[in-house]
Amino acid sequence: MKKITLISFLIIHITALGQNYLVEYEVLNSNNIIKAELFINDTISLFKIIPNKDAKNFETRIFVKNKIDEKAYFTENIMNVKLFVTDSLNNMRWTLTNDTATILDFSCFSATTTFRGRNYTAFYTQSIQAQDGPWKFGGLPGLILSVKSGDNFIMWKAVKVVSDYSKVPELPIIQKENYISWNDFVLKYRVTIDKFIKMARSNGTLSNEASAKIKLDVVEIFYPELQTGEGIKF
Amino acid sequence: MKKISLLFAFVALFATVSFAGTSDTREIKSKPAIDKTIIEPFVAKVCSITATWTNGEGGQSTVTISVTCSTCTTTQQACNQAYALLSLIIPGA
Repeated sequence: MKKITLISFLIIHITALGQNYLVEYEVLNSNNIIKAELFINDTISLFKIIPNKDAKNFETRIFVKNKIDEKAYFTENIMNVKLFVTDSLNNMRWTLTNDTATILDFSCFSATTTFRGRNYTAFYTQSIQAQDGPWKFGGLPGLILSVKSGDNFIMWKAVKVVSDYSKVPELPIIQKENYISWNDFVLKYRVTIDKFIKMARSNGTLSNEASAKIKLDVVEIFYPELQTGEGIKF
Repeated sequence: MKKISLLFAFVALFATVSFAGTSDTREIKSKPAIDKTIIEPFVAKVCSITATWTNGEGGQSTVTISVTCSTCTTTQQACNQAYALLSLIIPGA
């Protein structure tokens, strides 16, 4: 019933257009630049990565924010296994700060937050009254046009804003899948890594005279032993 | 007295001459040979392999597996184990 409600909700609110925006972002990470698009209206937003022309085996990922039930719906990978995950839209506690900037002719104010292991500084504009932003960011009194991690690991920066955007984006085919919560996703991740480490020794992939380390680098730090320092030794 | 001293001198001289040509039967042990080959300590072979993919937020995510092998004779042997481990966690990698 939940899934039917979600489908119906998304269909109704994508077709019943209010003030829609399309924002193009550049995502900078590890000397790599990727383009992304954020479609926004009053009740939903869709954040989508645009693959580079020469990208091979690129899997399109769409991040959906449902502002009515205040949840995000997206896919995550545990290594090469895809899972459908939900997360709350209210995970970020912002502190408004005094810095200002002009981005794409929009006057912006700054705010900071700590989210899943990283500190972020965002610049938002009150000229666009959408408490939204790229990926999971949102909850500020205006659209987030720029957000950067304090360790320079990643940055999202708006490069174009289109208001009164009338083209309806393609609805992601996600309604048939079962979603797990973010906390369950983290638990599954830990179990997967533990199983991998046990298997590595028990089936002889790692010889008795050898030792190994595994380290994961992703934006959200949810498994500190795996993601900080040298990773997990086994 | 002089004749007795002279007699002893002759006896000593005779004894010295008599024994001069005798072969010495002591066993002389040869000194042990010194091996001058430089022996380097064995260095464990290390190999790291990284898989990279683009995540939903647009960032590059990576997983790195490093293997340290104390009995591998080549780095390739350590890399073979690292590749095998990566394939366990990302089949088809």
